[in-house]
Amino acid sequence: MEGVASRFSAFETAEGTPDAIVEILADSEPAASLARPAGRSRRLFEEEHELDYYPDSGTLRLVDIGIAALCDTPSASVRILVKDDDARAVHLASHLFFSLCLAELLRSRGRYPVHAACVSLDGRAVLFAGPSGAGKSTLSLACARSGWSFLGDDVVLVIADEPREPIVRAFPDEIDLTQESLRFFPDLGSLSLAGPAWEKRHVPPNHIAWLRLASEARPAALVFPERGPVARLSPLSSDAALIELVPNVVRTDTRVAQRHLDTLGALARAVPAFRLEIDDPFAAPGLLAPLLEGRAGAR
Amino acid sequence: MNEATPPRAWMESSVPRRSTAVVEQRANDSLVLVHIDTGRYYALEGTGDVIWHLCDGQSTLGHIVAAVSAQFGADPRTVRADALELLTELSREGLIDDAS
Repeated sequence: MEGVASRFSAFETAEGTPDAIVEILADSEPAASLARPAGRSRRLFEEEHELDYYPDSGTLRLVDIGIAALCDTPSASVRILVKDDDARAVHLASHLFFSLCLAELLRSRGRYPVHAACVSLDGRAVLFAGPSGAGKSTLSLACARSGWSFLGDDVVLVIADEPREPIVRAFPDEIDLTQESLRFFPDLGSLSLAGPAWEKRHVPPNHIAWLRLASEARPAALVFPERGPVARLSPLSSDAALIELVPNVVRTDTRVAQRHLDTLGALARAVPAFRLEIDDPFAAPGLLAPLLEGRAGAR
Repeated sequence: MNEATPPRAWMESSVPRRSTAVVEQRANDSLVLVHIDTGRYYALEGTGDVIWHLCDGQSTLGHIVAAVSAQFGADPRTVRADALELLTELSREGLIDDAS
């Protein structure tokens, strides 16, 4: 639970009845103790972890060595069993497995995770979307360092109920720091926490004095970064942007997947998209600021 | 992950029907399809987009060819050949079946 508390220390807390219950319990045989739900299943992922969805009960079951989890979406309850003497399994419990279950619960409530970093200026947001390693964290930190507000470095939540404009909600999880990020932001080295050997170093965003957090913004530009020898911004069609965003759709409940895809479509239609080739992340704020001019929605 | 459906022979009286395991979305010119079971995704444009929407489980291949030919002012023989190629590909990917 300490891992969970550290991850989410920058999140706002709320009083009242919880929307979901997550139990993390020690167990000597996690996979055997969490029975498979009844009915047919769909394998969503198997390369490193087994991830199966059971459409009849709306349940997600995740298994890896020393850990198993069940996410019961209709009752908004999650049970994670973990061998407490297995450091990797304990880390998965507070990170990846927790994230996958949380994302499923959020999707079922109309908050659609998008794999993107996000920063904003006067309430107008740039989303850096793309796979891990594309430079999302470094670019978002470079913008935040120059005074932009920060909403997340890896995942944000998008809400799009057309005809209203889409909204981005912050997800200020721990910031993962690569060696490259630390090269550009050496001051974060002393703030960051060394995770297990297989993980990046990370730092809760509220531990960075110069980072200003925002909770919500209107998306004004969708940027797909890649490494390049010079800084260059090229327009991307909304069709191409949607194709880039499609891998965000998780194939659990068909109706939820359709709404997730609807949300991504609304985002791609409403927001101009660009391919950003960049070598120096500190060039990004100057290059991107003009994209935010003249778009309404300051919040 | 399910195996892809083997290709089938489409006839004039066949009634192509979109799979309920497919979610779709349009950005601008392209219609993006995602197969929930396989995780594969596709983009259709132009006549492919129109044919996809006519795979409603009620229209025969003959009706589809007539409708597309009329809409685009195209030679029905060309449309039929294109439609057969597309339907074969869509059924191979498990995106449609034959409701007839």
